[in-house]
Amino acid sequence: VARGGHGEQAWGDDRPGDGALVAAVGEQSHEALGEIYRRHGAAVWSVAKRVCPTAELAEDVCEQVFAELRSRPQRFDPDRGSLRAWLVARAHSRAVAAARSERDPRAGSTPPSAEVEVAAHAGALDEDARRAIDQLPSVERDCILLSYVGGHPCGETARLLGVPEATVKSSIRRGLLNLRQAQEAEGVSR
Amino acid sequence: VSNSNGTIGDHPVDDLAAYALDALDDAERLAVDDHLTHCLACRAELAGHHETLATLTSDEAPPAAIWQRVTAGIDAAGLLDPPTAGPAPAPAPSSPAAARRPDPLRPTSAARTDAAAGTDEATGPEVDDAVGTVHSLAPATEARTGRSSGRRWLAAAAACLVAAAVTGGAVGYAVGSSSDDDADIGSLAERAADDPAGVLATLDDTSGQPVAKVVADQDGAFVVLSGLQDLPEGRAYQLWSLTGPQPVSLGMLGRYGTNTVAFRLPPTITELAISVAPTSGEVAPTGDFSASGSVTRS
Repeated sequence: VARGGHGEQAWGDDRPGDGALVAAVGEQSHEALGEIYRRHGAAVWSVAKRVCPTAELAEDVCEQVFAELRSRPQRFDPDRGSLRAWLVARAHSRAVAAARSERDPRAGSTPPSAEVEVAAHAGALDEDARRAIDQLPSVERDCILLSYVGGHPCGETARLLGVPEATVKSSIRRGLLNLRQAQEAEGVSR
Repeated sequence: VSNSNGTIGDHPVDDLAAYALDALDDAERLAVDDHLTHCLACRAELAGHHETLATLTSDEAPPAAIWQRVTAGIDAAGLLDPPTAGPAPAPAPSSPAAARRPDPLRPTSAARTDAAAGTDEATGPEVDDAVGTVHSLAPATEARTGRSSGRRWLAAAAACLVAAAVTGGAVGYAVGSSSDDDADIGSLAERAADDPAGVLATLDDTSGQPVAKVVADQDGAFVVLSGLQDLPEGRAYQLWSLTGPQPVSLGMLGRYGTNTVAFRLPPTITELAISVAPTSGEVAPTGDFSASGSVTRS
């Protein structure tokens, strides 16, 4: 981790947890917001960039996520998971909404095949994530990539893959649980 | 393993997984929202899904312009140096978007916290709905369209509108009474008011006294409040569109009864009203309106 970022200088060696930082944001601490951005800005950005069709939209999403945290920090409930997971989830929701509203139904009269699209989405992941996803059974991998990275609703994913919508949903769940299990086995913690 | 309905017992576990990926349609999403309000087990499972998904992120530093935009609403005195996000040092603001926005947002009071707030607790779905609404009301392209350099604040305002609206349904931004932008916006509003066609609406209080005007010219729309009472700390005026089945927030107007606030006036809006709300705004007006009036367009 790069030394000398603003947050680290501000907080020194006695780094507060994310929950304390969010509480400080509620007290209008700009330093706390800066430290949160330093810790999680890249994760938020990577999700927004992956899902949004343009960098411009991704920037908007990123900004909105941190603006929301700044103005409504109480929306984050530390009892319901980590700040990073919450920020990433907020970014994803906003990115999907932005991507869907930008999607022009007239454009792309010949959409890429599901296979091509899945490969493109896998390529957008970094190496660790791609390796984890690639270990899943292919239907689980395809459903997660088309939904999570492609931003497709389950119905669209079902059409793209030629499987029932219920299969898409159950595959997503099994895939997520398999990913979790694999991460726990590897002792991944981020 | 879930049964053929995608449930385990009463728990819609398959829909919950799709929910975590934002892949449900609206009706399904609302049903899961409803279930989550009373099901601890599903909240825990959802949190687990979110943690899993958060491990699929990467550590690429975001463009520096984003941090500048996040802090644009913080008073200049409190501005931070851009923090370095992730392990890589923050790059120079060289993204295309930054290049298009040489002065993305002036660090003034243009984007006050109270303008960036709008809804109350537990508004995840509502906020996402607001994204769609806002994109239709204020197309992103419009928000990004700068005008002449002398009107930079307008471009900034437009950008704030999107940010503020998406943050909580408020589509407005208050101009601080201590900012030197006041002269700017005040004279624009005056000029608009001088043009007889510029006054689109007069909002009267409950006794029929005019307390607010809506003026517009090619530079934008403004609410000019005069004669309303100043509100105590923690309360603020909120502007509503009453066109349509339910009131829709157009933004917060601040707590001062004499004030000028720029806002976006979608062309379909014909009825306006002002309520008193908590500073953060309300999803729906809870009290009587302080003033109301109709929009006339020549």
